[in-house]
Amino acid sequence: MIYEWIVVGGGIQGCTIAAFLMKNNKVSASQLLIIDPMKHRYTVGPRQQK
Amino acid sequence: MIEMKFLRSPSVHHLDVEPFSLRKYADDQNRKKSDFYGVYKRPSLELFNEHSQALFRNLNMKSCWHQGFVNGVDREDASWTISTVAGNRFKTKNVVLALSVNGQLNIPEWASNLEAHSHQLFHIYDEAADLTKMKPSIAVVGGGISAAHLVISPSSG
Ligand SMILES: Cc1cc2nc3c(=O)[nH]c(=O)nc-3n(C[C@H](O)[C@H](O)[C@H](O)COP(=O)(O)OP(=O)(O)OC[C@H]3O[C@@H](n4cnc5c(N)ncnc54)[C@H](O)[C@@H]3O)c2cc1C
Repeated sequence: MIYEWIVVGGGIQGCTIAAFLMKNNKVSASQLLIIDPMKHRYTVGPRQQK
Repeated sequence: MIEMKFLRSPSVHHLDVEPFSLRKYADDQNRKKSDFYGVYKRPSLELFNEHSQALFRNLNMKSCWHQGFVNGVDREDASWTISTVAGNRFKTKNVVLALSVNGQLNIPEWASNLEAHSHQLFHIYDEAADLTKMKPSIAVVGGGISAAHLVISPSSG
């Protein structure tokens, strides 16, 4: 399949843009992929790759 | 190394689209006034995180999540191919890079020389460093918010 949008990095900005795209009906959940090394996390501050 | 009970930013800064979404969430959840701090109504970190999680759940963002580390973005015909370290490939029409700068600590050359000799030099976001074990005298290089935030704990504790 070809996704409509892929967001690389699921931090503050990545999740914000994902929410924006979905809430404005630019994309449905099935056409959007967020790729991040972490299991989902949603808080401010840095996180580091181990 | 840095802890915070309240965010540095006012309540209109959050992941949702509507500016007052976080305030509304707090009202709907009957959260206490003490979940906001000061004239700028800075939300507690706990409330901020809960609000983010609620948004995440409502949009079923979990179903959009792929755990992986991207190491390639290539243009192929009319689409992009995104590759991960684990060897996965995904095709997409649009890509957003939201990587931030925090993944790799930026240690200047003059500092990395010191580091090799002393074991007394740390980056603020080095998870291996334990600031509570540091003994004075301590010098902080850099004078931004995180520097100020950092020095409050040893000097008040
Ligand atoms: C201590 C501290 C307190 C702060 N307090 C506040 C505050 O109160 N209010 C405020 O507004 N801001 C605050 N900030 C700033 C805020 O956290 C950042 O501006 C924000 O996190 C930046 O968002 P981002 O999405 O660009 O980066 P991040 O949230 O760091 O997200 C980047 C993501 O990209 C991922 N990533 C990196 N490389 C790859 C790759 N190759 N493949 C896949 N994924 C990758 C990372 O794992 C990470 O999840 C604070 C920052 C710090 C450090």
